[in-house]
Amino acid sequence: MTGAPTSSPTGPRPEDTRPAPARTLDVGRLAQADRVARRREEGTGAGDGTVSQRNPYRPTMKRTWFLATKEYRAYFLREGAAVVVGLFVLNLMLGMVSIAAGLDSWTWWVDLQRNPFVLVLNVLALAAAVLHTVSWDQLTPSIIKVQRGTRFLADGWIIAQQVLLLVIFAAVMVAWLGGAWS
Amino acid sequence: MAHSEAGGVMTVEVQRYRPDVDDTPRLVSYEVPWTQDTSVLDALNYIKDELDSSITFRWSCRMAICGSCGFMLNGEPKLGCEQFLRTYAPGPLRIEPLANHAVERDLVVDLEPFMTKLAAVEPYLHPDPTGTPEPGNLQTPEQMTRYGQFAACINCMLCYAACPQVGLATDFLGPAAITAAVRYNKDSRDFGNAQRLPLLDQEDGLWPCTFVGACSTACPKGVDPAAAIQQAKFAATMDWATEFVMPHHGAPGAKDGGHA
Amino acid sequence: MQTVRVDVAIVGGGGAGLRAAIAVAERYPDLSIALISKVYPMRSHTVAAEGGSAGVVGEGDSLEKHFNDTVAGGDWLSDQDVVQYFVEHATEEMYQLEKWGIPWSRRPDGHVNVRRFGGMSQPRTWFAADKTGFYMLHSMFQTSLKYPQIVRYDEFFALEVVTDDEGGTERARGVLAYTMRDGYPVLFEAGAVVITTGGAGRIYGSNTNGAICTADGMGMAYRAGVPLRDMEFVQYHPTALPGSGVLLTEGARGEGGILVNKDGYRYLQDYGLGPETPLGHPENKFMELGPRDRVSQAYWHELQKGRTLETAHGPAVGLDLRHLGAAYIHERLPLIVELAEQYLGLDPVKDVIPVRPAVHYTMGGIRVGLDASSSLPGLYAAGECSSSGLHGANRLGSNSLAELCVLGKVAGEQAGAFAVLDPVRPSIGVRSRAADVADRYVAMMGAGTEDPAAIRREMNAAMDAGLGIYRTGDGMREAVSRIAALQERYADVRVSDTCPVYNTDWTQAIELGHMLDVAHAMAASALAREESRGAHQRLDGFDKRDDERFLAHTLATRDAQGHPVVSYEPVVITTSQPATRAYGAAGQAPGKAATAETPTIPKEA
Repeated sequence: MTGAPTSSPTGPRPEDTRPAPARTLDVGRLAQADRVARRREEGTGAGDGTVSQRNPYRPTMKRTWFLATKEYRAYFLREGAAVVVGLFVLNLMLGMVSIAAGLDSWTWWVDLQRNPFVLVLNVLALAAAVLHTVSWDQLTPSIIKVQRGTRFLADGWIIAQQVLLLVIFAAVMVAWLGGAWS
Repeated sequence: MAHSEAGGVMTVEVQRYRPDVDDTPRLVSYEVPWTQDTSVLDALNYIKDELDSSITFRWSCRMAICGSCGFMLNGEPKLGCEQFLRTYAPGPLRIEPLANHAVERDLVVDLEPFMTKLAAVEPYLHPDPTGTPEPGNLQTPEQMTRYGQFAACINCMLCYAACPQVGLATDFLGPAAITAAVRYNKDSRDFGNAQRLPLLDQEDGLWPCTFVGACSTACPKGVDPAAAIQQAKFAATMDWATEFVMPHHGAPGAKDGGHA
Repeated sequence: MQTVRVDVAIVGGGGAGLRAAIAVAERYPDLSIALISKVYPMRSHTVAAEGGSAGVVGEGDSLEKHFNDTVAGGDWLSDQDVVQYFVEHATEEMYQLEKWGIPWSRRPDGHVNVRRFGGMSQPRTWFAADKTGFYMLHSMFQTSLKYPQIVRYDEFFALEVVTDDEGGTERARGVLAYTMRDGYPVLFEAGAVVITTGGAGRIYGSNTNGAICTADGMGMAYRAGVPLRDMEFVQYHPTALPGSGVLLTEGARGEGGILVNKDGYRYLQDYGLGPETPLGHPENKFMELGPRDRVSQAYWHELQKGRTLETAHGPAVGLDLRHLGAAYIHERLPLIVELAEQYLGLDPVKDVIPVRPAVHYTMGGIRVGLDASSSLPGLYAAGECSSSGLHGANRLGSNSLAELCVLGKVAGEQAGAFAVLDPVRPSIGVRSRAADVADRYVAMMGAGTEDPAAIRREMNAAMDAGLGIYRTGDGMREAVSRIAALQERYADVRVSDTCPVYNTDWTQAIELGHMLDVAHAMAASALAREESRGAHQRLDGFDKRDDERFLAHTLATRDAQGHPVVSYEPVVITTSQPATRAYGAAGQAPGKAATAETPTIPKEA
């Protein structure tokens, strides 16, 4: 045993003359005696000495693990949807770059938005954003716990508060942007 | 009895693996008689007593508290003692060892990695360095509520079998070990947050978790380990942010609220 | 065979083993400790204890009352010096657990809450919902991780206590075990050995115990020449599920649950436990809060009168919680709700739960003194596998969890002291003999013809029939001869499995050997006790307690042929002379008088 604590024992104890505790002493005469004494029966399957008989099987995950259960599929959809949102954001950034680059490129970008692929991307991005909003609302109650006495506020209240904040934020944005335009 | 009387004989397929002989596991079918209160564990014991005494599985208490008998039942992690054949009628029922674990033999999986991870998060009370009140701490029911759910973990490993991240990132601390740490961090008697948070806030600590949420679905005791992990992530992030804004002022040892 | 040298080897990783290990680590920090267990510590059967743990706290209670309840509950077969030590130290151990993080249920002001329990005159049962053992075990296990000198050997199956008489006196030199994971024998050469392997309930067919409660430690000590004491006293828990034997805590009655027969009648009032207490207002020592032996015996009488319910798994009585209301039931008894739902498809809020007595606890065990030492120098025992003299002829609910702590600590400290004073030197002789013994066990794999499952079932049946709640001389003689015959068959027990790792066919066969030895000791001890006391109740003319002849502990010692030899030793009596054991109204008057006369023992902090 190494790393024994250094604090002194609390109780009365005799002279410390004993040898330091050791984990194993599998060498020398004693171990030799062990080997002599060990008469391994053939075919019993007994472990030979101290050689481990372990042979664990280590399963590997299938490449399609994310399709295995409903929960994994929902998780994968959630993660996958981020790619769509990412593409949508790339498109927006491209639009901003094209404004800076001048009228021609801006017109090109506006035309690009009529491309069926971009239209589909926009629709998918909307769906993905809705999915993320819903899953965010669903997952938040696990993290935000409001304790009332010996109970936690029900998940519905946390979700309601999320939705309320979203509505207020949207209303403020609309009012602000509307004010800027008028 | 509330359950309708049912029964018969069901085909139960058990994954067998004998390490000194087999290279890979195989499924073996057994015909098991059952009635409405035959548990999966009863079925395995029937096989062991009547059909093949070499079949190997862990079990003890029969009442879903010792955590020994976790298996994959038709691909889902469950405790064998509290699942009944009636649920799987007319069969077949497939019993496999817990997923994401090395298989030692038949349904016995290697628990050593978990034991190491559990010990690594210092899952014991770090007492108040200024001294513990005598004869013991006070703790109100409200303070108990903060960690109570997380203290109900029986280490049955169903959450590890459910979590794909455990399978993908072998060194991930995993749901139960993190939950044990969070349980103590939220205990008003504990002052070990400062030691434990750095243990959790590591690449293989909290962060492999991507909030799949399967651990909480699998948990037979309603512990909600996913919540524990996300709350720990939140605490770790707040700790980082505080340190970023006010270096060495945000005391990482401070309890995340509620310490009395 | 691998050899591991340690100062203290502890066999059994449940509550008592963990408490002993922590005690060694705290008292003698430089000793090495091997915690050897056939299961991971959190699987140990302490985990299944539900109700709580006794410790005097709060107003109106006193150490003296706890002492008197325990001695009377044990039908005066308790060693009173042990009971005195126990009640004096139980409360500090409960607070010790508090400091280790156990979530004791609390009052609104933050102080620990206590509940009522059968046979206890005061509410003094500390509880953590209805999973007290679970929380206790996990708190102790996780606390043990703090101490680097406690090295766990999980899933090491202990085979024998290694003894040796080199130097003149026989002493324990270590433990021979087998690592199930790696598949080879390991000799733990140890300065002191502590056995904390729990009970023997699996000897019976109908029992509340886990698969691991197979008398291993008792068997090992017994084979090493240490007597087993008071083995005839086996506790039936009154409320287990029919069929599976899964336990429903006594806390259910402590919180106000009632027992009814098929007519909805609270039958306990007919058996000296009345008068009936009002619904939802349980009173200590009355009705449902009578001691376990009396409540279980009342069930037997109801069965004889044909007033029990019929279920798919035989007769039962009803545990009725409905009047407590959903909120209270869910708060105080969540496990009961889960178990009733899972196993019976019933909701305790709406349904009466069928229950019946099942074997729950072995009062007897390895004979140890107040210092937890056995008659073999260097061998210690604590917990259910031991007979410390605390429980006498009947254990009171919630005394055993407290015992794990109080006497587990004693065992650890005493074993540590022994290892310091008298360390073992490596011995060629011991190692060579241990290797021979290991070979003998390993040779069981792939040998034999007798079906172990059949032997086990017949042992269960023999014990259920002959050593049940009520016993007769003929029934017990029958049990003795059936067990002896099974032991002969066991000599050629079949182990088909030859795999070196996780060979549970082999480990179960070894467990069966221990159970047969211990069952034989139980039956022989019971047959020799010609009286009725506590959990040992006879119908064949010995239906009264006989203090003239049997105010004595039974000792069962193994002879050269492997048969138990029964002898007796006196009970330690200090202040409480044997009296009539009365509950209900009959228990009221004298109890009050006694409390008024004798000064209260001052309470410790």
